[in-house]
Amino acid sequence: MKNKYQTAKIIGIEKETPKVRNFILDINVRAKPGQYVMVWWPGMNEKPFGIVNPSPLTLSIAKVGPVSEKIHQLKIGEPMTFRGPYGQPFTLKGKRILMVSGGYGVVPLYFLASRIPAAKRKNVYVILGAKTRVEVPFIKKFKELGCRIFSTTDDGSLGFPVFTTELTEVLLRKKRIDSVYACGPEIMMKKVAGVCHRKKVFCQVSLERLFKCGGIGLCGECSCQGKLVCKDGPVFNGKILLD
Amino acid sequence: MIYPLKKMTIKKKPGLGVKINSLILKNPTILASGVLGQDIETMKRVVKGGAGAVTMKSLTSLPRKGHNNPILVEVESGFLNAVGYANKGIDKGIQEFKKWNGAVPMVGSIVGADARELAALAEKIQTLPIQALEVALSCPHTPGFGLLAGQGTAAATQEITKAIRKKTKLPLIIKLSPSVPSLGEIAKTAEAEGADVVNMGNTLGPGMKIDIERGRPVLAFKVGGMSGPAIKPVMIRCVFDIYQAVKIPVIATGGIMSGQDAIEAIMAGATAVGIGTGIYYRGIGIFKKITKEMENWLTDHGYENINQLIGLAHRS
Repeated sequence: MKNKYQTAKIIGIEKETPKVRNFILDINVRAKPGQYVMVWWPGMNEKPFGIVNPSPLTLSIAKVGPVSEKIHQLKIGEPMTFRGPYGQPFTLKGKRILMVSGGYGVVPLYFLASRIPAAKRKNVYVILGAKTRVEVPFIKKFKELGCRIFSTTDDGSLGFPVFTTELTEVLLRKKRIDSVYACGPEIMMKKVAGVCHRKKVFCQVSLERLFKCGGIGLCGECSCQGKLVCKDGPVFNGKILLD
Repeated sequence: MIYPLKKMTIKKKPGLGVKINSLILKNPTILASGVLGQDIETMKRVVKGGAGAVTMKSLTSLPRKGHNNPILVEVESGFLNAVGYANKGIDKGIQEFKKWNGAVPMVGSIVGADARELAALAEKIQTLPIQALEVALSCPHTPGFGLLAGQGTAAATQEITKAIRKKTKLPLIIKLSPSVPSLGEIAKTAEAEGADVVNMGNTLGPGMKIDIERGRPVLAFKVGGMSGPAIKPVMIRCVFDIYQAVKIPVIATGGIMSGQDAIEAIMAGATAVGIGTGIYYRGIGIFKKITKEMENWLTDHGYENINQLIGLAHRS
């Protein structure tokens, strides 16, 4: 029987930004970059969260609704229950890689970057977009990996005063990028996918939808052009956003 | 070089087409309501997967959020679900499905609180290019609907079937619950009031799954209807009983995973089979797989047509 719930203890909590906390659990899972778990808050709800690191399982959780608010109140030693991992992972291709993150979309991209051998990470360009300076997530983590970071904020308080999509165009032109991975607001991913399509650059995006059965693929709630985001995705070729 | 002459017999493939009232199906597999039935694009994938017909997810008068997650939990040999009729409502549903290309017949599906509401829904949904209308009187886990609205009785079935029959000429399928007594009587009532088909049936139960690490029921609604391989024997018995009680065709839904399961249900008295949870176990191509397995079985056993098996198990 797959789809079993596992309960693990929290062994570490990191404050990533004012709204985002990383929870480290005393459990290892087999997961590939781009996959997610369904976290259950008993008696309340169940929500998908991207995986930062599979061993020990680390989840980065932004405070955006009732479940994540509850999770943010958890302390070290308290239990968290999840099932998964689920979904299709990213396909790593090429040497010169561009990652485009908008807001909380950074999570699966960081996992992906961490799986690229250290010596090759100098060819990994990461665009980190956020609303304000304090909300740019994972900047330190990407620096530690040795990736090249280009940050941009909506209010201009940090980084380049342009949109992530404009930065994408510049980097595609100047750095001879082989493949692009994007995660963030759908409008951003759509633009990135469009640029990549025109320039014939391989592009994958990670979509977000409301999940109900979450990974099992029966309810059809997350359907996007006949594809089930929870099972056939969340990672798709960028073309899915271009019709 | 001389090739040895083989004894050649041209074998005709056994016939798998069935007729349910005026519905003509190229094979007896039907996508059950509630699974992948929310939008046309996903339905088209189910058609590619080989379904003989598809049933949309049930529509209600107004949009419904349904129950909180988890709405589905895997248990031994199946799943418990308590979706709670999450759907966009009849108006948006009509917008979505009006462009159905008719590659295979689509069955419309409605649920409601009472006969009046269901009759109004039946009138509305007729504008769609659907070839039959299914009405579920059997959900075990949504307050205000199905069993939790007292619809699992002969009296309620009579009142509701009568009201809907007045509003539509579409073949009318009444979907019953395996969890109520006197199924034969309920089915007879539906038949007497003009129902054209019985779908047997909905999920079994309700049941419950408790996570012992957290000491709580997993489903947000606590209880849910059971589907999957575990419920097949109950479904087979229900189909057997209903076949004896009524003359109208029966669709067998519950635990069908293979061609052998389908043949068993057809021998019990079904004309076609509904498939839902099986998609989890065997993928969207399950419809093709089941059809092929049925075809092989018929060939191996010397049958020419699936219709020869309907109700076979009732021989004295």
